[in-house]
Amino acid sequence: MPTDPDKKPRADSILDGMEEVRIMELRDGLLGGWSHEQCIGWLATECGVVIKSGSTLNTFYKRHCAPIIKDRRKLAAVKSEIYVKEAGRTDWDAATAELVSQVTFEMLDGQRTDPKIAEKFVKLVLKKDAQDQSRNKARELARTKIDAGMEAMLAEIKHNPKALAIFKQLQEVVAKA
Amino acid sequence: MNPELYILEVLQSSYPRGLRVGVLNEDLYNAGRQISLTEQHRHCRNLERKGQVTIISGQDHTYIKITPDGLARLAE
Repeated sequence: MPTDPDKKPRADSILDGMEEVRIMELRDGLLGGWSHEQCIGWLATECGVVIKSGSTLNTFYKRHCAPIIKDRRKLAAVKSEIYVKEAGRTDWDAATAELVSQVTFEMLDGQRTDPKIAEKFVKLVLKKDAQDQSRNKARELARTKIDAGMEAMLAEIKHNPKALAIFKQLQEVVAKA
Repeated sequence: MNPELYILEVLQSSYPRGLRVGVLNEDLYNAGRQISLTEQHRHCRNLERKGQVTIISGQDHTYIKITPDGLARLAE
């Protein structure tokens, strides 16, 4: 069907007909949180493109921004689940694990996180670090005690070859534990 | 399209996590499906009754999560 050259182009194709670099700038602006008013102003001054209706921007958004947001969000949701699973916390109740997963997701997705929720999240993470540190300290202390005991035992049996052979076996077991 | 489907569509990408009420509303607006927060709340309650979303209300936050039933409705 022949196209009528006098026919006004579709409003959304005006934006898609812009230079690639302008399309990218507008896309990044929308993804960065520009309001429709800001976009309309930017288009008029920077690109010489006048649009009147928000629906033109909505169509542009659906075509250029929504797929990016969708992919970013899917990735953030998967990552947040993996991170919390990998943290391997067994002392968090369901509500805490849910909060940590949700805040991790929101941060990875680039959403603005409520300062109150962020505070809770930071406290939980710091508490986790402190718990990990004290667990490591306790483990080190236990290891030191075992080593001291082994040394004392070695001093006692150093002239007994039979006992020394058993001691070596015991040392191997302790090293693997 | 039914507004409930718009909502499920937006929530779909965040599964199994949820979106805060404001973020959901902003995304609906950006997609050209502007509804008021009151309307959104009403639709979300309906969806919750059908088992297609879960509304999680905490002390400082409320967010909406799509459920496997919600995903199934979108796939229909």
